[in-house]
Amino acid sequence: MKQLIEYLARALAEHPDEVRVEEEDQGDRVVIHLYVGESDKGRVIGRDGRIANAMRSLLHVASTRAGVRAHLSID
Amino acid sequence: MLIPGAPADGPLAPIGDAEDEIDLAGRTLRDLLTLLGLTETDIAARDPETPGDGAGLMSQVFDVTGLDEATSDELGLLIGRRGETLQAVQYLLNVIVSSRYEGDQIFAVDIERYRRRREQALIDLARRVASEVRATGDVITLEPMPPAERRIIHLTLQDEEGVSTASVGDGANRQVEVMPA
Repeated sequence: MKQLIEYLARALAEHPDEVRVEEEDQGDRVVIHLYVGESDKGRVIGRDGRIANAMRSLLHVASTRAGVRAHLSID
Repeated sequence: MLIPGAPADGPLAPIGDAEDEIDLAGRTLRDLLTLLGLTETDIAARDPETPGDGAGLMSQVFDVTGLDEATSDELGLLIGRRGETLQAVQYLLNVIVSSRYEGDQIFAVDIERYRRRREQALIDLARRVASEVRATGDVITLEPMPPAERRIIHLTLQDEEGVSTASVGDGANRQVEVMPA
């Protein structure tokens, strides 16, 4: 799941080197923390959060396949 | 966290050496399927043929199909409720391609012929509603639909005698009205 979000964020970002993703196990769910450069925030969030929500849709597929609940947090 | 079927070692980096937009789109789609553990799949690029493919709007359609029955079933998850996840895949793919290329090519993604099946269902619905409107003179409002689906209704009925169509409402609640012409 971390890999999926990292791949997408790096593909979307203008500065892929600044992309960092961490997976936090909270017991009943996994939180994927995505960090990007300040200037790339818009590129991974999108207008009205459309890009972030599309990433959440794919994360849902990944987490369902892995048998867990996951949440994407863009920090 | 392990996703069944996904290799442990990648793909880690987005495509950096694509030949053109189609190459980038096709290879990115392959990477996404790999990352989701859906490796037993085929991707075939073709020209759009019907309104449901986005003929006149889309440059190419990528048909994703499972190589075996189990994978075809698993692909249902990637289609999502009312095709919403499929739409997210297509949207992300186009955002990624357009951030790398200046061109105006837009790519469609279909999974297990979902769009084709949905298109046929919408065409049947449009024709049924049109004959009811003709018979009764009533205005019939269809359930809310995304833009691509509304377009199929409009195109199906544009040459139909005795009825006309219009979209009403905003955003996710936008609906097609079929009314006597």
